Amino acid sequence: MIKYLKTDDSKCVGCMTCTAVCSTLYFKEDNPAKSAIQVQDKGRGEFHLVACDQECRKCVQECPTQAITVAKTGVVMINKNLCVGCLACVAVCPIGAMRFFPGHRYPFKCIACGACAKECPKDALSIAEKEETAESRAWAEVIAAVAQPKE
Amino acid sequence: MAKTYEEINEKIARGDAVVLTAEEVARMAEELSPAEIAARVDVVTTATFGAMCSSGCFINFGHPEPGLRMESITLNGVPVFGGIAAVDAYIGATEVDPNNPRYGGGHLIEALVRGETLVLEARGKGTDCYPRRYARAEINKDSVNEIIMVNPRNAYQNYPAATNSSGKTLYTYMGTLLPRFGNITYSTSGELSPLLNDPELRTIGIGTRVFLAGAQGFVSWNGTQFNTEKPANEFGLPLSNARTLMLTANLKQMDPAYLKAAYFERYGVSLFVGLGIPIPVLDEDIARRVSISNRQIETTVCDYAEKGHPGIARVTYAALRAGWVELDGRKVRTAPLSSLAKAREIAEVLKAQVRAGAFPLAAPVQPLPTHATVRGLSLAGDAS
Repeated sequence: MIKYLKTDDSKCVGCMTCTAVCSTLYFKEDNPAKSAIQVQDKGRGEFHLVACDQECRKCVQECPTQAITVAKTGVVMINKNLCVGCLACVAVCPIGAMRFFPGHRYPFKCIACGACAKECPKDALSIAEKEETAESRAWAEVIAAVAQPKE
Repeated sequence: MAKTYEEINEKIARGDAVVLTAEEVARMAEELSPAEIAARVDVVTTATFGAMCSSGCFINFGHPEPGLRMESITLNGVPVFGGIAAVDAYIGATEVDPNNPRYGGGHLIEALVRGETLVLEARGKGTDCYPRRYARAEINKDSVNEIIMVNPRNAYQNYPAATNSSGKTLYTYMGTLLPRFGNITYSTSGELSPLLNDPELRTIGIGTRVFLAGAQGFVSWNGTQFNTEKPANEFGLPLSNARTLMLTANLKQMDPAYLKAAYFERYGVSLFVGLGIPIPVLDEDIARRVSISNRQIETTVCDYAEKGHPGIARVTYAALRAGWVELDGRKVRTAPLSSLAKAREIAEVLKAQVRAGAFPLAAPVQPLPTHATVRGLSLAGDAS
C-alpha cells in the first residue's frame, strides 16, 4: 500500500493554513515557498493543491546517486547522506511536487506526515492509502541493481 | 594596478591576502569597479560539481609471482582497459558491468576513494616472461601501487541547457527530458564555474594547480573537444560548450565527499566530480572577468528531440536559477544536474586552503591553445 496526502481541490478556499503548517514544521518559518504542499490560485475563487502522490516515483528512478528511495509505508523519501543536491529530481517531477528553495542544500517533498491535514479547516486534505501499481514498483529494479555490485 | 603571482603568494604567506569566492566577488561588483576589485582582492575561488563522463583513473595493481600480462581485466565484474603494460589498467567512469548496466566504472572509482575492497580478475595468454594466465585478488587503494586520476575532459566552459519538444520522454545524459517542453535541465555552476571566470584562460593552463575531488591535482593538457571558436556574448562569455580541461591528481588523496558515482536512467553510469580552481586577480582585466554574474552568463537551450540538438533559445543563468523560463510562450520548469551546494562548499574549502598557504599559486607552465575547433566524424559508406 502507498500512504499519501489526498487532496480535494473542490474544498480548498486558499486560506494557506497548510503551507504555514508545513513550512513552520520543517523550516521554522511561515513561507509558502518552503512548503511541500503548494496552493495554486486558479482565479475565480478556485485553487489547486499540489503535493507528491508518492506513486509515480520518477524521481526515484531519476536520482543519479540513488538518494531517493521508497519507505515501507510507500512514501518517497530523500536520504540526505546520499543526496549531492544536483536537483535532477526537481527537473523530472511532472507536477512540480519535488521542491527546492534557493540557497538550501537539499530538495524537499511531501512525506505524508499529515500535519497539514490535521489543521485544514475545510477538510480538503487527508492521509489516505492506495494500492501499488506496476509503475510505482518500477523503481525497485533500479535501486536493487545499483545498490550492490554483483558477486 | 597589476600584481604578480609572487606578490600574491607573499601576501598569502603574510596572512594579508584577500581571498573570496566567485559568488562573493560577483556581489561585490554590484558596488565596486573592476579597478577597485583588482586593488582589494587577490584570489577568487571557483568551483563546480557535476557529472563528468570523461573521467577515469590509471591503476597499477603490482605484479603477482609468477607474473601475468593482464590483457582482459575486470574489477567487481566491470571491465577495465588493459591494453597497456602488464599490470596497468584504466578504469573508465562510464564502463559498465555487462550483467548490470547500472553499475560501472564510476562506482569502482568511488569505492576506491572510500577505501573499499574490489575483486580483481585478470587473464592473459601467458608468455615466456609472464607465464601466468589468470589471477584473482582483492585490492584497495592501499594495496595497489598507484591510482592516478586522468580525466580527458572536465570543467566544460558553459554547457547548453536541454529540453524536449517531442511527445515522448527522452532519457539523456542531461537527465530525463519530459515531453512537450516539460522541463529544461542545465549543468553549469554559472558564476562559480571555473572557466567562465577566466574565459580566455589567462591564468589557467598546463601546470595550474587545481582542487580535484579533495586532492591537489594539476591541469595536464587542454581537455578533449577544446573549442575556442564558439560564439560569445557581449561579455566575452561563450554561449555553449567551449573550452575544457584535462586534469590529473592522485586518487589516494581524494575525499569521497567530493566525488560520487552516478547512474542516469536509460543512459548509463557517470561520475560526479568536484573541481575547484583559484584565480589570481593579477589586474583589472581579470578583476572584470571574475566579477561576472549569472545575469551576464547565457547559455543555449537545445532541443534534444531534433537531429543535431538545435538551439532554440538563449537564457541567462539568473533565469535558469529562478526555477522556470518562458519558452515558446509557456512557463517551463528548470533544474540543474550539477550541485550548486557542493560547488559552493568546494569554493569555500579552497578559499580556506589558499588563505592558509596550503594551495600555492603559479603561472601556467604553458598556455592552452588560443585557436582550436572541434571536428565531427565522417562516416564510411552509408551514414544513416
